[in-house]
Amino acid sequence: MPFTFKLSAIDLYPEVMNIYGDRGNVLYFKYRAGLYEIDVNIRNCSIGEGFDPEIVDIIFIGGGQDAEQMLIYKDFMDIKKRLLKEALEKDRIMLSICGGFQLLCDYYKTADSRTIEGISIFKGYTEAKTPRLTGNIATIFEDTGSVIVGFENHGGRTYLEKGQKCFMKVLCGYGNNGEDKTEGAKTGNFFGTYLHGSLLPKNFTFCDYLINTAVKNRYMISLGDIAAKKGINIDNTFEINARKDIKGLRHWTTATVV
Amino acid sequence: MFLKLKNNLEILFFRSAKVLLNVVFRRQGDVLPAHILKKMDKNIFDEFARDVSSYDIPRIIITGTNGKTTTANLIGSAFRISGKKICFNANGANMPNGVFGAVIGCYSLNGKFIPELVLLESDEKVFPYIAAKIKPDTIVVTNFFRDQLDRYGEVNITVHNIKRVIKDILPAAFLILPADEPLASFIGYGLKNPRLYYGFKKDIKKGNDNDNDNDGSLRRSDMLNDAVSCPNCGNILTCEENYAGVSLKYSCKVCGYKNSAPDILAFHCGDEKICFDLKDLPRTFSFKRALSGEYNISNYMAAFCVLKHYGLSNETVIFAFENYITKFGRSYKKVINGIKINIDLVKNPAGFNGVLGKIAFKENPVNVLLAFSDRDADGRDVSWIWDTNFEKFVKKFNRVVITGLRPYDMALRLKTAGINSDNITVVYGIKKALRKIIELASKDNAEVFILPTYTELLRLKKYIR
Repeated sequence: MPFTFKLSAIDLYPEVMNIYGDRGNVLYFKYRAGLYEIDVNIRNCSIGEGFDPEIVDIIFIGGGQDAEQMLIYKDFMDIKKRLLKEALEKDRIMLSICGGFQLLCDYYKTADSRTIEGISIFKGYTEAKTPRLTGNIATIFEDTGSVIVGFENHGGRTYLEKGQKCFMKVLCGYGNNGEDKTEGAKTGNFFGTYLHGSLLPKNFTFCDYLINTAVKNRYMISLGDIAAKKGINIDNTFEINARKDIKGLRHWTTATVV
Repeated sequence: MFLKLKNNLEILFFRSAKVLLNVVFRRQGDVLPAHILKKMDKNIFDEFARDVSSYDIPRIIITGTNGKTTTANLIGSAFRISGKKICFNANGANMPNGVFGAVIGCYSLNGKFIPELVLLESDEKVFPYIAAKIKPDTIVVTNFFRDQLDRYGEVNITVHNIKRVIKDILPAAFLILPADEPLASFIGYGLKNPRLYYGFKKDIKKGNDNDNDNDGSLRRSDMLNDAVSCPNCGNILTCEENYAGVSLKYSCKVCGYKNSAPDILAFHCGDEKICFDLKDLPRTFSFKRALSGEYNISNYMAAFCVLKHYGLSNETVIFAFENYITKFGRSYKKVINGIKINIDLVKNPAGFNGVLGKIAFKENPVNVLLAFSDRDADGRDVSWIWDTNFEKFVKKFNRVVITGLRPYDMALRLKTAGINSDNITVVYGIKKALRKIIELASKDNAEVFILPTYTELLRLKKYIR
C-alpha cells in the first residue's frame, strides 16, 4: 500500500524567490520522499497567505533578485515572521537559501548603509559588499559528517554571532563571508545556506536527513525503519556522479562519505 | 572620413590577420585581430565608431537575451536579397571585439567604409558600451530573461542600464520592442523615441501550449518568471494571460504600467503559415514560416518591423522569411541517415522552455541528445535547469542521451521530472554521444532533438555540418 506516510511542505513566495533554481529543492524533496513511498503535498504560500505551523512539516524559501525581495518584505514581517517562529518552536524544518537565509538573520545592511531588519532566527547580520562571491563550493555538515556541494553566488557577507551555530564548515569556496570558514546557520531544525545547485538533489544524504527528521517528528519512525520495512533500496548513481562531475571539487566528492 | 594613417595600418593588419585565420587556421577570425588591435591602440573602437557614424547610412543594433542572432540574420538576409551591401556580425560574435571586428573588416585598405548599412547584434550587457559609440538609428530589443547570473548579475539592472544609454543617443533612435514582454517593452516607456510594438494576437493560442492551466482568473504573476516586479515602480506585476513565454496581458496595479498596444499582431493562419495584422497598413502580411517554435514568431515580427521601416517591399521580405537558411543551433534542421535532426542552442530557462514547447507540438515522443556543460560561456552555475519546466513535457521524451561536462546534473534533473532513468544514457564526449543518439533513433524510428549549451554547440559543429 503506497503512501501511508504523508508530509506537508510549504514553498514560500515561489514566484518571487525563484531565480537561482532553488525550486529544485522542493521538487527533489518530493521526488526523494516518493522513493520511500512518502507522499509530500507541496503548497505555494505567497503574499497575503498564511500556513498552519502545526500541520506543516517543512518550509522552503529560495533566493530572489534584490529588488524583488523587497516586494515580499512587508508580508514576511507582518504574516510569516510569527508563523515561522511558531514552526521553529514546534521543531518543524525550514530550508532557506541565499536571500531567504538573510531574512532569517538579525539584519541586512545594504550597499547604501540602510538596515533591513530580519526575523532573528539566526543570530548574525549580513553586509552587502563587492565583488560577488561566486563559484563551486564544498563544505562539511558536521552533524552527519557528510560533504555538501553546491554553487554560491552572493554579494552579501554574513557574520554569525559567537553563540550561533553555523550549518556547515567550508572545505573549499567562500561560505558566509569568505573569512571565517562558516557556511550558513542552523537553529533547531531551521537551516540557512548560500548553496544553490540546487542543494538537495546533489546532496541526497542531507535530503534523507531532512526527510528522516520530518517523519520522526510526525510519525515517530525513522527513515531507516521505513526503508527496511518496505525493503526499499535507492539507486543513487546519478546523484553520486553529479557530485563527481563538479570541476575543482573532485578531491572532496570522491571521498567515500557523501 | 575621420580616419588617420594609423587607422589604415590597423585595417591592413586586421585584414591580413583575418585571412590568415580563415585560410590557415580555418577560424572565423573577427574577434582575435580586433582583440590584438585593441590591446595596441586603446582608442581604436572609438575612432572607427566615430568614422562609421559620420556616414549617412542606417545603423541598426539588435539586443536582448534570446533571439538576437535569429532576428539579426532574418534582417540581414532580407537586406542582402534587396541588393544592399551590409556590415554585419552574422556569426553571432556579439561582444565588443566581435562587433568592432565586423566594422573594421568592412573598410577598404584606403580607409573607406564600403557597406550601405550597418547591422549589429550586441550582447545585452555590453550594449551600453557599443550603442554609445555606434549611435544606432534603429534599436531592436527582443526580450530580457535571466541568463547566467554568475556572470551577468540580475536582469533588472541590465534593463535600466540599456534604457539609460538609449535616452542619451541623439538623434533619438527608432525603437522596435515586444508589447508582450514587460522588461523589453519597458525600454520604450516614458521615452519620446518613435517606436513600433509587436505582439501576439489574442487568439494565437492553439494546441497544447496553453500556459494557463487554471480558470484564467486574476492571479499573481507566477508565469512571469523574470519580471515579477514592475520595472517602473518596483511593485508586483500582475499577469492574467501567458503564451509561449510572453505575457499577453500584464499590469501593475500601483503605477499602471501595462502592455503597450501592438502595432503588429501575429497569428497562425493555416498550415505553417503566419499572418501579421498591421494597425496602419490596410492588408495583412502572410508567409510560410521557415523557423519553427513560437518564440521565432517574435523574431519574425521584430525583423519585419525593421525591414518595413527601411522600406523593403513585402515581396522581398516574404522571400527572405520563407527561404531563410537557419543558423547552426538556431532551429537548425538536418537529415542524417534518414533521421530528422533538430539542433537548438539552450542557454537559459526561458529559451529552454521555448524549445521544449516545440517538442510538445510533435505527435510522437522524440529522442533527445543533451550536451550540458558549465564552462564560462555556458554559465558556471548549473542551477538554472531546475527552473526549466521539464515536468510539463515528460511524455514527449522517448530516449535521452546526455553528454558534456555536467551530464549527471541533467540526468538527475530529468529523473526528478519523471523520466525513467532506464531511458537516460550518459556518454562522455560529444562525438560518441552523437553516434549513440543516431543509433538509438534508427532503432526507434524517432525524430531527434539535439540541445547543446553554448560551448557544446561549438564542439558539435565539428561533427555535423
